[in-house]
Amino acid sequence: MLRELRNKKGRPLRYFGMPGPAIEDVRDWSKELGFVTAIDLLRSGSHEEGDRERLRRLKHSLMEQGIAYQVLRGFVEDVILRGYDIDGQQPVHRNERDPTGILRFCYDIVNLDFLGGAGYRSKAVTGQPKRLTAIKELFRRQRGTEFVFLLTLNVRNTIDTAACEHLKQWRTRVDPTLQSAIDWYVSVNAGKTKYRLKAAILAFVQRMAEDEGFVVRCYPPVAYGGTANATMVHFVFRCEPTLDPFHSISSQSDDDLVRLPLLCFESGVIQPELEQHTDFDWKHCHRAVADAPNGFGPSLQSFIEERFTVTP
Amino acid sequence: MKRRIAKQTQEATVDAQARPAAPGEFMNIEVNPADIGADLLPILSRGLYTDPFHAIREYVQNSVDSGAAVVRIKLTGNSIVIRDDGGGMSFDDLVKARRFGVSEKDPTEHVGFRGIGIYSGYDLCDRLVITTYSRGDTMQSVLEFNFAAMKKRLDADKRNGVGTPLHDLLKKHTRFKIEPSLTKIPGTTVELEEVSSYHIRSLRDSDALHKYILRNLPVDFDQQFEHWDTIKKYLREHVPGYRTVKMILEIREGETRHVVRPTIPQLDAPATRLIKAPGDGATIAVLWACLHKKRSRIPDAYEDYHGFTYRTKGFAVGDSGRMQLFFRHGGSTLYAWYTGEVYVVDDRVIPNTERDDFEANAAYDVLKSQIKLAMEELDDAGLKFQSEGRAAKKLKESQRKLRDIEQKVADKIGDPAIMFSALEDIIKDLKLQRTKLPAELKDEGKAAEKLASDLRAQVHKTIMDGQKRRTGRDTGSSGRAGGGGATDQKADEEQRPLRLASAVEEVGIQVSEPIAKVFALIEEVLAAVLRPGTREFSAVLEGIESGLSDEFGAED
Repeated sequence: MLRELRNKKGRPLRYFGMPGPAIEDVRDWSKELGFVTAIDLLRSGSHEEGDRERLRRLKHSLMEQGIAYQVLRGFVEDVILRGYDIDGQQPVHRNERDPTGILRFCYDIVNLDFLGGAGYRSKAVTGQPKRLTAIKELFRRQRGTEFVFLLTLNVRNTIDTAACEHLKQWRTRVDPTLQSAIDWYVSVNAGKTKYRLKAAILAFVQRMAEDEGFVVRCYPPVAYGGTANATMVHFVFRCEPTLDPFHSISSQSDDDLVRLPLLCFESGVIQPELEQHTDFDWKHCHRAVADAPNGFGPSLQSFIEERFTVTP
Repeated sequence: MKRRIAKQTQEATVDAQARPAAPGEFMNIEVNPADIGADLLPILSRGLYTDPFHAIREYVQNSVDSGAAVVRIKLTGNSIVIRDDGGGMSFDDLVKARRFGVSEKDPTEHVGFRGIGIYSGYDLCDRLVITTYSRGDTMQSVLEFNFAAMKKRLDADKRNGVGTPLHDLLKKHTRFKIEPSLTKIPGTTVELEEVSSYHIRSLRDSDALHKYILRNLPVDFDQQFEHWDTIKKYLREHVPGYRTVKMILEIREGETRHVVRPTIPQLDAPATRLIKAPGDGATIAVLWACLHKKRSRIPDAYEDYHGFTYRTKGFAVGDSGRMQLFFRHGGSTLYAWYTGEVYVVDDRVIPNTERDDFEANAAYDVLKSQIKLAMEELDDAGLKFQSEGRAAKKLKESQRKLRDIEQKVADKIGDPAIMFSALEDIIKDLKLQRTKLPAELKDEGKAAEKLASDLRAQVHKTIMDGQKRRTGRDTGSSGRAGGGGATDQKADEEQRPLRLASAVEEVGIQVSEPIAKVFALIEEVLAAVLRPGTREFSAVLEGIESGLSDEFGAED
C-alpha cells in the first residue's frame, strides 16, 4: 500500500508518528520513507529518566538508520492539537499558508501507535477523550493531503465509554437492519472490548475524515496481544481528499463498516476472529477482505472459504 | 570564603605523617585524588572550547580517529546529535574515553590525543550521551555525562566552601550501561542534550556551521572540481593516513546538506611539492597550490579559500591568512591568487589545543623557515604568472590594433603617418613584452612582431610614394593638361598623406624629412584631440592651409 502511495506521489513518503526507540515500522518501510517526524514523551519527575533514555535510543536508532528525521517531545495528542511540541518545535512538513490560517500537516503516513508507550491522558477536551479529539484534529490538519492512517489502540484504555456513546449515536443514524449488530457491539462484556473498539473506531474515523473532506477506505482491523498481555487493535485507513469541499462520502457504507470482520494475529498468522457479531455475513466478509493490505486478502479469503464454507 | 576553601583543601591533602625526617633533604609526598579540583573541568572546557563549533570539531575528530567515512551532524529540538560509521568502541574503550587528560591515542596516527575533547560539550549542554557499538560485541555501550548535575554540584560546593575533587565529580555524575544493539552496525552516536539556548542559537546557524566545517574539518573535494583526483592522489601518496570524511549536515528543518569543498572555477593545474627539512631531507610538509587561471584574485565568493591553510591529519590549524606574510610582492596581493594547503607531516610539529597555531618548538621553527622559502617561490611564480598575464593582455591589444591597421592598409584608408607612428609604438610594445610572454604565446608574439614590421614597411612605402608623387606634380604642373585635372586632383587629395606638409609645399616651401616628421607629430596630437575625418579636424587643417596660403601664397 505504501509503495503504491509512493509511486502515486512520485517521491519518498513523509512519516508522522510514534515509532518508539526500536523504530520497527520505520525500518520496515525505510525504502518508501524520505522523512520521519517521530514523537515521544518527555515527562518530569519519576518518568524523566526513562523518557530521556527512550528519546536517546530513538535518536540513536534514527541516526543509525540514516533517515532524515526530527524528534518532537511530548504527547502526540498535544502535538496534533497545538501544532507544536513542548519545545515549541513544529512538524517539518506543514503548510502555514493555508487561507484558513490553520496550520496544516502534510504527511503521507500517520502512525499513532499508542502501544509505543505514549500513555493515555484521560483529561477531556470539549467533552471528548483527548485522544479522539486529537484524531479529529489530525484530519483537520491533514486536510488536502492524501495519507495512510495507522492507529493502534489498547483495549484497556479509557476510551471505552466514549466508544459506547459513539456506537449509540451511530445506531440512530444507520439502517434498522444494522441496529441489532450495533447493539451487540455496545453490549459485549469487558472481555470483548476489542469488538466494541473495532466498530466504534471505524465509524468514528470515517465520520471525522469525511467531515474534513476525505474519502476513507477502512481495512479490517487486527487484534493482537501487545506487551504485558494487553490486547491491541490495529486499524488501517486510506484517506484521500475529495475535490468537493462540501461533500465527501466514502465508498464504504455503514453496512460495509459493520460487516468488516475483526481479524486477529496469532502465531504469526492473520485470520478472522472466529467470533463476530450476531448474524455476521461471512459471504459479505469474503468480498470485503479481498483488498486487505500487504497481500493478506487471498489467504484470508481461503481461510473463510474453508472455515465457513463460503463459496467465492 | 576563599580562606575557607583553602583551609579545607589543605586539611584534605596534607598528610601529617609525610614530613621530612631531617632538614635539607627533598622528599616525595603522595598526591591524593582530592588534590585535583573539579574546577579544572569548567576552566579547561570554557577556556579551550570558546566556540560551540569547537566542540562539534572535537567529536568529529574522535569520529575520524575511529576510521569513520561518513559523519552526520543533526540538530533536532535542543539536541545536537553526531553519528559516525567508524569502528565504534568496546565497553572498556568507552570507560577509558571518560578519563580526563589521559589518552592512549598515538599523536602520529590520531588527530586527538590529549584526552579532554570528550569534555568539550561541558559548557554547551546538560547531558552528553555516547552510544557506541563495536563489531563483534554482543551489546552496545552507553556513557552518560550529567553535566547539569556536575555544574549544580560545583556551584553548591563553592557556595558551601567545599572543594570538589575532580575524580569524585566524574565518578558520581557519569554512568555507563550496556544494552542490546538492534542493528549491530558499528559506529558511535554522540548526543549533546539540552543545549543551552545561548549556544543553540549559534549552532542553528547552518551557514556558519557549514563554513566552519569546510574550513576546519577534512571534508572531501567536490568531484566537479577538475583537479580533485590529482590532488587527492598526491596527498594519499605523501601524507601518511590522509583521509577525508563525507559530512552531512541537518541543521535547518528538513534540510540535508552534503558538505564538500566547492569547485572554484578557473583554477590552473595544481603545483605540488614536498617540503623537506634542511638537515636530513625528511619530508616535513606536503604542499599543493592552484593559481587562478584568470591571473587575478580568486573570486571573493571563495574568500575562505584565498591562500593556504595548514592541516594536520586533515584538520585545519589556524586560519588561511597565516602564510600571507611570506608573500612579499605588491603588499602580498598575489596570495589571494592562490588556493592550497600545507599538510604538516612532521610528528614533532603539534597543533596547540585551540588549534589556532602549533606548539612552539624547534621543529615548528624549521617548518616555518621552509614554508617561508616555499611561499616566496610561489610568490615569485605568481609574479611571473602575473607579468605573463599582462604581456598576454598587451599582445592581445597589439594584435587588435594590428588587425585594424592591416584592414586600413588593405582598404587604402587612414592617415599613413598616424598608422606609421602607431606601428612604431606597437613594435616597441611587442619587443618589450617578448620575454614576458607565456611560452604558449611566444609564437603568437613573434608573428605579431613580423606583421607589425611588414605593415610598417608598407605604410612607409606609401608615405614615400606620396612624397614622390607630390614632388613630380610640382615640377610638372606647368605642362599639365587642363582636361581631366579635377578628377586627378581629387584622387590625389584623398591619398595625401601629410596634409600640413603638403599645404606648406603647396605654397612653395620645401619640406625636409625632419620637418615632415614634426608636422606628422603635430597631426598626431591633433588627431588625439580631434578625431581625424571629423568636421572639426578638417576645419583645423583647412584653417592652417588657408593661413599658410594667405601668408606665403602667390599673388593672383
